Amino acid sequence: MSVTASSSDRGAQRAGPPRRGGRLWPRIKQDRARYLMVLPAVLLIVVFHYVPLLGNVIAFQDYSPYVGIRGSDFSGLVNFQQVLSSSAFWSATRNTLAITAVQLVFFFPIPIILALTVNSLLSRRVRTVLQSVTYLPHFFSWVIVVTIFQQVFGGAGLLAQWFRSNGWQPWQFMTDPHTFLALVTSQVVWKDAGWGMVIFLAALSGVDTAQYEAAAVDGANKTQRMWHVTLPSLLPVIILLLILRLGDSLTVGFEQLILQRDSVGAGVAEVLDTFVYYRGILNGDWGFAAAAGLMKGVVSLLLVLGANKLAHVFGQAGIYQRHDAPTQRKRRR
Amino acid sequence: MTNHVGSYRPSRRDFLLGVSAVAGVAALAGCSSGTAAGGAPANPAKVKALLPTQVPGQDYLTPAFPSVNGTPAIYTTYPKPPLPASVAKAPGNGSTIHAMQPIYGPVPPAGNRLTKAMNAALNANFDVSFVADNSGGYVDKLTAMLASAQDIPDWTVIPTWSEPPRFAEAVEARFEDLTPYLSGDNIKKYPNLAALHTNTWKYAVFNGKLMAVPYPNISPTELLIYRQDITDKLGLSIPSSTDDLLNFGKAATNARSGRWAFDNLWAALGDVFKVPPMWRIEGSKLVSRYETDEYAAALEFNAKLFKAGYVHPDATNATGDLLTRFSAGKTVLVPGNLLGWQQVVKEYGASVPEMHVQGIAPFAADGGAPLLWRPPAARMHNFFRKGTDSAKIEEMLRISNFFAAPYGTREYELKYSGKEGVDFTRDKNGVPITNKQYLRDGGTNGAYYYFGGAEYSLADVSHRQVMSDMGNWLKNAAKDIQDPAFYGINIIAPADLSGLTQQMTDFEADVFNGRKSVSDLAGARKSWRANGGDKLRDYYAQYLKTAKK
Repeated sequence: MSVTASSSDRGAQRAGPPRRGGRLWPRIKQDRARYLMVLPAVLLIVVFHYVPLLGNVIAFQDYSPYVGIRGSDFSGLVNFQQVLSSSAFWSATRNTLAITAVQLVFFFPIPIILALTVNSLLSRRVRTVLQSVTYLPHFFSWVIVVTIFQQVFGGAGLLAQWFRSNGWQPWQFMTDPHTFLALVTSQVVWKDAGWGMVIFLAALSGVDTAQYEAAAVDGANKTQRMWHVTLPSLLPVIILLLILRLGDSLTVGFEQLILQRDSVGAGVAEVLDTFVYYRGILNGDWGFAAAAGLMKGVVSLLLVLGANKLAHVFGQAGIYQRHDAPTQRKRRR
Repeated sequence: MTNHVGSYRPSRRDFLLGVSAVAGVAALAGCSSGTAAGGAPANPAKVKALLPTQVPGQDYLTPAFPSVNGTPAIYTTYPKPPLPASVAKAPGNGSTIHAMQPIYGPVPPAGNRLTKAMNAALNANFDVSFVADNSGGYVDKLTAMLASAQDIPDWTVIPTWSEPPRFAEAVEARFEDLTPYLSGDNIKKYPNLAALHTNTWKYAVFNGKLMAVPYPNISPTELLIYRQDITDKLGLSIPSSTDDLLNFGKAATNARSGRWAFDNLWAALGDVFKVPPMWRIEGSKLVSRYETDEYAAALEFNAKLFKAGYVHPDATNATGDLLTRFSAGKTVLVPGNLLGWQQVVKEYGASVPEMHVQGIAPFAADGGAPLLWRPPAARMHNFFRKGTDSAKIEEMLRISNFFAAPYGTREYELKYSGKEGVDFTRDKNGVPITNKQYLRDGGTNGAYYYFGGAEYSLADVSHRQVMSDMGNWLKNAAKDIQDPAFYGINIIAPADLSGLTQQMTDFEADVFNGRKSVSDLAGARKSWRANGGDKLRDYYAQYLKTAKK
């Protein structure tokens, strides 16, 4: 996905595709400045993300922090068995997948739509105001968001009191388990759609305006320009975010759900993260929590890799690809 | 410790502790400091031998309502300065002691005036690390800290509701055994600590050893409080039976005007329906609270209240605050405790001057003699790091003794009000009124409160009406206080079983909100038993012999 090419790259291209093996050290020497720039970030990730992965060994132990990893008994797959045989785990998984699916359909397109709308506004002042108003809720904590929703839609809230003053029964939006998916999605939309819009606006600003002019000259109207110029330019970013979202699909929030768990019941509000919290962490059953987390991580990794592969099949770059990958070769033609 | 206007400000946590009695008492009874971490339960004779002798303390002042059956004494007077000192000379040796305690408000800046005043009075460099414990932050810090041996300070305060998981193992590995310093007559070196009730000391026994200096709990914890100003205005009669509660609910609820009769009464209904906090001993068997008929009856009744619409809709919501709703007049009758009663008057009394809070005389659902379950006698523990030398341990014990001074002494005033002129001024009754300096230095939010404490007492010289209301309520209710099963025995449930309560709490929330019905209780009981309830029963059965003494 690199846009610029340095002169040394062009030199390498003229020499033909790079060979595997045997030529590694000269390549590293050639790029040593870039490696040095990247080194601090890589070290940070290795130390704070990869090394702690070794700690996942506690998923196979009956871990007690007071005796440490070396002092804890090895328990093999017992923790995994306990997680998989718990009916609450499957219920939590179902809820997690339901929330992810609904949010994928109803939340994911909204920042795109917002970005397209804001981008097509002529007045700069209106754009700035709209942008600020929509992305500010991102900075509120979930406690505030849920409290606001409670004060407006709750049983004693504004809407309910208006219903009552007209003699009707209030709509129990915040405590009805059947509308919980809609509630959670609307909260996420209110809070984060504006923030997501910022990414797409940035992508939109990279679209070559000459293409719009060319399309207009060819007789395309506004809708056709959006469909044939704007959206295809956004496509790489959309695919990238979709893949990342898929990898994150088993994480649907913690604070937001734990605050509302008692109002709607654990039957619909329990997700994998809250399940691990109540069943594992609160009880000090660290091995159990680690086993659940490990399984979640492995599944998410497989999802990301699979989605990335799928993106390659459709001719997109995805989140990463090999240097001589088919998609790049196709583009150079 | 005495609750004093302008000084002690009981935190939300204190109030919530009372409100969540069901989970609270059950959790406290189950999760409070334990005996066996895989070891056998302590022999009752052995435990008796290691407890300190009780030596009644000196009365510095006459209470308006004395303590009866473990209730707090109530004072409506304050001694004239100069105040008597319960400790002859400063307890410290000038050494540096690192300590850690929770604070229920913002963390005060280091080296502030209150710290300096305390250090001067203690004759020690008492370096306290205050950790904010709003919404459970303290247990997270403790869990991380206890995992590594190097990070333990000399002195750690651990509330019983903040005990991290696998606590028995942590206590064994990290803290010093205090039995040789405190058992039997050794306690007489520390007269204020010797005045603590023996039941309080029982809760400081971990793994068959005396491991901590306890900070006493207030008893009873649950009662129903109501707004007398609202009931007078509406001409409502005060309920004294469950049928009365239903009628009261109907009469007091006016959803259109934003007033509901109740908040979630579940916490107090346990006492009304005589549901055991955790177990009932029947002969040689243990019956869980969830298996009792009383529990089913209480569940059904509370569900009825919810269904009828008498309960405020925000009651089961995690973001609202029960006290705030009560003070705003959105609810009329709520579950509370004595500290909460006093707190709501103090905090909102100025902005809601017509507020007059009263307690409902305890009554029983079956019409018989009312019942109030006695909560565990200690609510916090003071632990000293393992391996500390004996001279330092004795110095820390003397400091704890200093902080355990009763109401009416100079040490007590320093603890709850700070230094005269700097932190407080005296009102016309001689009572200290603390100022912003004290609040900024953390005093109002609990700084230095928990390192030691006398048995609970309540005091308020300016709000005599409230004290008299409380005193009369206590006088009537004291006879109803009873010990639940396993009272006085410290038991920690094993890690994978102590989370069973959450399942049932979720079930209860489902029943109250109408998602499930009481007829689903049979299924819930079965899954409770299958998910570890029977194992838990077997675990507690080990203590039956100890309990029966």
